[in-house]
Amino acid sequence: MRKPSPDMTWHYEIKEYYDHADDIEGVNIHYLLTPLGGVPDWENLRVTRFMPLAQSPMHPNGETAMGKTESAASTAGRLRRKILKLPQTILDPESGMPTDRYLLHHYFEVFQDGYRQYSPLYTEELHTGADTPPATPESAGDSNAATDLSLTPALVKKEPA
Amino acid sequence: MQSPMIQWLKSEEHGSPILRVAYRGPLEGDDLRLHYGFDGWQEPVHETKLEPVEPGLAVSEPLSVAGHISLDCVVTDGSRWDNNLNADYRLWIDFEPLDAHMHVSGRGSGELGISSLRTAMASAGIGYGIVSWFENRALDRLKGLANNLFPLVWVRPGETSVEEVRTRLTDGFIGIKLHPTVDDYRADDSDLDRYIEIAAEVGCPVACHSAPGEADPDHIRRLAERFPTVPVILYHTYLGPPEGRRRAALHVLEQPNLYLESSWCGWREVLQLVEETNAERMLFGSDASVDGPHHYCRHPPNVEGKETYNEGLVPLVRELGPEVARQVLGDNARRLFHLNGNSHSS
Repeated sequence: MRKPSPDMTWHYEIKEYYDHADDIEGVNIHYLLTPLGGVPDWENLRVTRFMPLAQSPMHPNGETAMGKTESAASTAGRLRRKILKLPQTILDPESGMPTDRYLLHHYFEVFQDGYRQYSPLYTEELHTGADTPPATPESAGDSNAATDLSLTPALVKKEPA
Repeated sequence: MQSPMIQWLKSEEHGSPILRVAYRGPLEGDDLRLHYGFDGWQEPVHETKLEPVEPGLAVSEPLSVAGHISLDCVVTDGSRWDNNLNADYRLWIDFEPLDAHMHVSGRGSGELGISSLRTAMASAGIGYGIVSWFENRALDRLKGLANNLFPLVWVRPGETSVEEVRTRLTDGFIGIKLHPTVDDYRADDSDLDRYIEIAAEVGCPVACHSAPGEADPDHIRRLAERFPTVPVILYHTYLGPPEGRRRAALHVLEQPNLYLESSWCGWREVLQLVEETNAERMLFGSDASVDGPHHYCRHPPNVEGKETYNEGLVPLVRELGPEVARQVLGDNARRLFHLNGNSHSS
């Protein structure tokens, strides 16, 4: 998996999907952002990304995902993972000012046995921390969604200088 | 490999070609009749008997097709109808199109599986197709099932191994598919180079989704410039506002290894693109069957919201004329992908 560099421009969210059957032929994630309380405009603002099957927890260059266990290794063949590159802030329509609190709406499109199925729609509030003092590694990428996985430093490959 | 339900049976009498329709569908008996019209069911509609020849095969009398482009038809045994799951059947007169942009997810029975694609192809008279899928392993499941479908290797830079690409390209896959939008990279990303080098080495084309953002034609052109011996096809020409299509056409004029593909462009747009570029640089494609078995004839219409593929192809072929139509609807793709022969079905 190509991993983004950590920087101040983007906020990264990891989304995972576990194939519930052998005949899953692909999974896409559809997402968009709205201000708090906003209604998603899927027709015009949808972003679609393919969810690739996750590589083994031991990455080819030797780096290891923190916190991964043997059970994680055993499920890697069916685990899909995508890192979403999101803005640190969006425009708050009420104040006209940038805000680091917004909603991420997403759902999965699952291809199985030639059929296309859709997951429920998920909505979560993100707080990127962009307007707070410089973040510590622990607080960077903090999300208010309990089901979300923040982008841990171990999963972020630093690009060579 | 299944034989098509409907196809031409060709013969010659006194040096003149004779065309009959051969039916291998589920209906049988002595009362089979072919209900047919020409050029998109233009009036008058005709009916003729289908004579049983052997179990599972019935053949019509010779049909007079002069002046027509396509034949649309259904079959009845007097009480039941075989209308190809309400999509009808189509045969093109004097050529057999190849769709340069298709998707199939495998053997599955759903709308993205092989059965659905077969229904769609029969409804539009498409004999052959170039297919791809997000996960290459899905296409492995088609082996032995569909020798009229030619697969592309889906490359996801950083995910797909160079070895996989090389192996597949020597094992029946005929080119590379890129989708910068859903796979989240720019179309001129240097990480692509090691894959495109293989394409250059084995002499196969690269088909790249073309759309606003990461898959913009400007980026695709830069990729094509780095590999001038590799034909690079802009899938959809540009899946966005008209200005992008004009820009894509300009790039094709200036960069000799760039080609356009026509999926989701209305027939007048395709005609304009051919006029702006060159008939040799345009490939017909449809994205079938992402809209299921009725991909080519779906209502409400799915091409720019105002026409179906089947409605648009008849006037397009008429306007292009027979020779250019054969190029656009098949021969260009056959040439680029080294699929021997051309679209002439005779």
